[in-house]
Amino acid sequence: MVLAGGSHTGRCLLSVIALTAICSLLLLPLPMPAGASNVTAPESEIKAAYLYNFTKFITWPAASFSSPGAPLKICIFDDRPVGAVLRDVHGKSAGNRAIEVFQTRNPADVAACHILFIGSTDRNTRSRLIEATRGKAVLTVGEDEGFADQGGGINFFVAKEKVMFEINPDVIKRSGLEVSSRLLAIARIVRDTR
Amino acid sequence: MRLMAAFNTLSIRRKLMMIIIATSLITATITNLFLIIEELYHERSDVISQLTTLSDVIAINSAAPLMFNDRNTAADLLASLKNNQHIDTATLMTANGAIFCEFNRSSAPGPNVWPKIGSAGSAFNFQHFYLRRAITIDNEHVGFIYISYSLADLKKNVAAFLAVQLFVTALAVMIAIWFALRLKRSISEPIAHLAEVVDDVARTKDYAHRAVRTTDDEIGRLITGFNEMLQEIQRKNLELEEHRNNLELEVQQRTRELNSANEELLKSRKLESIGVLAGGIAHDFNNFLMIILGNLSIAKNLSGAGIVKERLEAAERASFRARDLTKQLLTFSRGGAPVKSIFSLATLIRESVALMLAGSNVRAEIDLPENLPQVYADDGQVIQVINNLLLNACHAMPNGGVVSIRAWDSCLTGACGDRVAGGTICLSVEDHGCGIPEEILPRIFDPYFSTKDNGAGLGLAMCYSIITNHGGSISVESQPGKGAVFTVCLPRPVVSPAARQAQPQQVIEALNHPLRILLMDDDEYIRSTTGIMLETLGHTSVSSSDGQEMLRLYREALEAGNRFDLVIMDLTIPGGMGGEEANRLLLEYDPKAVTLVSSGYANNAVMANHRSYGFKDVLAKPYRMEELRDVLQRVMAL
Repeated sequence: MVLAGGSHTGRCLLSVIALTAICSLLLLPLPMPAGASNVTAPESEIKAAYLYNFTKFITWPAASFSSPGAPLKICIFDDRPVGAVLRDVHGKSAGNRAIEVFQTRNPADVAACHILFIGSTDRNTRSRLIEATRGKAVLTVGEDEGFADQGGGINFFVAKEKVMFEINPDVIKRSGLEVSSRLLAIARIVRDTR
Repeated sequence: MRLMAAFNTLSIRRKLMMIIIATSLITATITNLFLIIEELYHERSDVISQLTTLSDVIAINSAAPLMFNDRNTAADLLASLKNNQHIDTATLMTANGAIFCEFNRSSAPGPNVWPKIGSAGSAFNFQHFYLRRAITIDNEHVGFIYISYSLADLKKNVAAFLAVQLFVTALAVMIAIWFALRLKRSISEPIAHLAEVVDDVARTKDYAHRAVRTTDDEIGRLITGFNEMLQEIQRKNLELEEHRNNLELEVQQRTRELNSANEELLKSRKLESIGVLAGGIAHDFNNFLMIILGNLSIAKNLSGAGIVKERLEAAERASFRARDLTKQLLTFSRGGAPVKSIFSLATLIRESVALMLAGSNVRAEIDLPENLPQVYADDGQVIQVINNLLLNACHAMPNGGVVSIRAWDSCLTGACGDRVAGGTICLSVEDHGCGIPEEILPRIFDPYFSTKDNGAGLGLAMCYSIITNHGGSISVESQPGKGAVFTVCLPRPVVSPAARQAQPQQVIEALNHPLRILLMDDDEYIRSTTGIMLETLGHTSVSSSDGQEMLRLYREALEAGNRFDLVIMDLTIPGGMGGEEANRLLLEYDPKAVTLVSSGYANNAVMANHRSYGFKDVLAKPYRMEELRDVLQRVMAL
């Protein structure tokens, strides 16, 4: 709105440029990437939105919640600061549960999460976190190549300038979660290599 | 209204046809309209439900591609719609309205502007049906799907359906027309036939036409009723015609009757005037005869035997004949009522015939039934009639011959009640003489009409007068050269003959004590003549000229204790109180008074029924001393 105010005060050329910018901004679907040019910049945002979207297609066992009204916890294991999108997700709901977003660096915390996002990290840390969540109702989401092959649930990757993801249904099944076939239909499927 | 008027001028056949066609058309149209609407509605809900299901599947399956920005999967999903021939375009949109993925069957681009779709989520235009479904997952709105559905096939279907309906309607109308044509036979044809017959009857005025009944419904009844009406009209027409034909005859008959009644009336008027004249003459004449005859009898009494007495007797005989003449004249007098009594007509006929034909060259053949009833009439007058008729017959046969006399009871011959209520008793006198010419037949009963050289012309006129006075009838039939038949009919006695007994014949003792008699007469000569006759018979008399004087003298005498034994009153006193009134007053004054009535009007009603007027007896003028004596004896003997 500050820029719109500027269109009133600026010169004619500036106004045209500003209007074009506003229009393109407005047309941009918020959780969606709008074009190739800004893939890099909102990549983390897209992933954050996808994390939220996953809650629509994954079913957690009731036992993974302390009470019927207990919140669904999304844990971010990353050094980078949590983006605006994730802050928006905090407070939304999945079904009748509120969603809570945590940022943590402590591997001891991860067992209590429902979704654990593991930011780009070294192989050992990944293994340790995977080990920590094995057999627990925790959906592990990573963004490093080979994450799903190594026992991660879902792994983001970028192809054709698009953020895409792969799913290892075996891992998810072992975790006691259910994944919607609709999600599987749009994901790349990987199987255990071990 | 104009349409209605135009409709009313149509023939029934056309009306029926129009009604049937209109009815079938309307019915078929309404039915078809409903069917089409139902079909449209059905098709529409079909499309909606089909499309809703389809879009729901797409929506569910497109949620993940939308949320994870997977356009390829979304495009594959939309491409699956190409199997449905009717879906033209489909578009996935993100929650904020950006186009995410499109499907377009043709190469042409999809609709740039989607039609405004209300909250119902669907819209129709002429080309397409549009459906919008929100894509939600877990209550979260993630996008929309728009589908446009081509209605071309639907329209084709509806058009085909419409065509079928039109065909069915046309078929229905044709069937209706066919039925109407068939119906014509049972409804409009009989009516048309009836109308034709009505026209024929109206045109030809021939009511012999008949309509043929072919159906058993109201029209059939109408035709039967019409035929009956025609028959009735025919019958009435025949009756009318008959009446018309008979009318002339009836008029002739009535005219004849009227003419004869007029003649009769004329005749009776003639007789009446003559009767009045004759009555007047006879009365005066009788008074003169009274004086003549009375004085003759006095003179005869005084003269003793010898030539004088012979002459007097001759004069007396002439006077008698004169008296008979006046009697005959008096029968014309209308006032002369017959002095009736019950008697045997048969006896009367036999006696009269015997007397009249004795010594003549005419032989009588009498044919009387044994049980011929008695008649109630004036026997003297009836004798006159019979005598006149016999005389007539004799004159008709101057060279002798046979006269047939018959009598009969009309009630026994089947003609009872013809002319007179209660029937008649008739007698006929038939001669075989020269007959009566036709032209004089109507005048034969006229007074003073005679074909005889020495005839007075009173004989048959008198018969006519007597019989009509009795309430009977007299007629004549004649064929010239073959003779004539006179028929007289008298009414049967209304009162049974037994009720009226003949007066007992009394033995009249001679009167041997003198009487005091009061005379009343306007004629001085009669008073003196009668006075002398009474003196000669040994009685005394006092005279009075009218009723008042008579009453005064009677009262004076009664008051003096010297009552008159008898009063002899004249019936008519010109300019004074007559016998009838005087007698009434006298009897009021003295009920014991004994009175006699005397008059020249021998056939007067008072004379005929003297008893009901209070008179003890009658003394018809002129009378002789002998007659006076007989009456006095009779009265005093009562």
